[in-house]
Amino acid sequence: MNEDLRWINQALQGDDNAFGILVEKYQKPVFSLCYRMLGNAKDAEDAAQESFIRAYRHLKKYDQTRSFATWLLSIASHYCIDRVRKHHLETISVESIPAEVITDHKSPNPEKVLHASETEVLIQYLLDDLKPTDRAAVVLRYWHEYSEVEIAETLDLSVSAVKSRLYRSRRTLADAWLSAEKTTMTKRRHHESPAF
Amino acid sequence: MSHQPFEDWLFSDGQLENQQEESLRTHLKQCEQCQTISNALDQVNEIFLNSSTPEPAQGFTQRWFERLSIAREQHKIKRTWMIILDLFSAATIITIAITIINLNTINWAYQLSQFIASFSLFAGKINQIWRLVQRISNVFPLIVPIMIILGLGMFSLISVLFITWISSLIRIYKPVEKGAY
Repeated sequence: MNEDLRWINQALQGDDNAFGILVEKYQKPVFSLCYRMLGNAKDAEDAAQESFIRAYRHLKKYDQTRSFATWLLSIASHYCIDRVRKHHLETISVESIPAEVITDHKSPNPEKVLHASETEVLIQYLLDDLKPTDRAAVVLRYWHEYSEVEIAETLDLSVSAVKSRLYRSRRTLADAWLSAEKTTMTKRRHHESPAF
Repeated sequence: MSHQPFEDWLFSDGQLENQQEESLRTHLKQCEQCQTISNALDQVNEIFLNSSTPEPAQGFTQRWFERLSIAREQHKIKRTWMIILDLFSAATIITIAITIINLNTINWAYQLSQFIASFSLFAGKINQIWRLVQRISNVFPLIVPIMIILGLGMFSLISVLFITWISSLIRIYKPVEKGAY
């Protein structure tokens, strides 16, 4: 934290390289958040870069008593929420999820390891059903292990609003999972021979 | 069968007391609907928590520095345009203000008489030119048709040049179709 403040104060004096060190340090959490929000690496890269540009431009507004990481993720979250609202992002249809991703995931057999890219498709399908702010809350909860208080601080919401958003999101996620499971079962039945 | 408060406990994901946990476990054994929801949530939790954390491609910071220079350049251009716009707005406001101030001091009767006098002088000049043309045409009868032919020729030439210029501009700025070459 103190190390961060040192770089922040140097960046405030106009030292680009000092802010570059902070970019290097926080690129992964910011990119990860953008990726989960936008669903692909290209948009995530663009959003993460833009978030750092905005953070640097508004560095004077940063309250040094707060966590720098939370402030950065707050900028990235709001940018991604706006972007999801403004642009119609491509959504993943349940038909595009390979049947094995859902059925194998439930299998106790450890040899049946899911292919990473297929899992990504499933994750994106599940997140697509959520409203942008709810999605941000879920991403911060699951991938950044933020508490409800930290999520509230990051998204400028009250703690009770975060609780109700997470509650609603879990319900939506469970419904999306069951819907995907149902479609998979139907697809499997279509492919199976009636003789068996 | 009532699913409350069990559904709330499942979706709120909060810490349950021992008694609540026991109560939920008993309910899940009896209620297929809540059991299905509980399984779905477990699967979602598992897939989220076990997924990999996406990472940016190598050279992210370098690309950020490049983007920073572009952003600064764009900001500079935007600022220049803003200054131009501000100056233009200021000039417009000053012009309008001066016009309004002057409008109040105009002597309308004097302005109208000046306009009528100027129009009369202009009409007089037109009349003089027309008489001159009539006198010349009386001396040289062919001068009027020659003038008309020359006028039409000049007009046609200007029209051809204008059409050529426009078609050249269209050809220059027309986007090249993909696969045309």
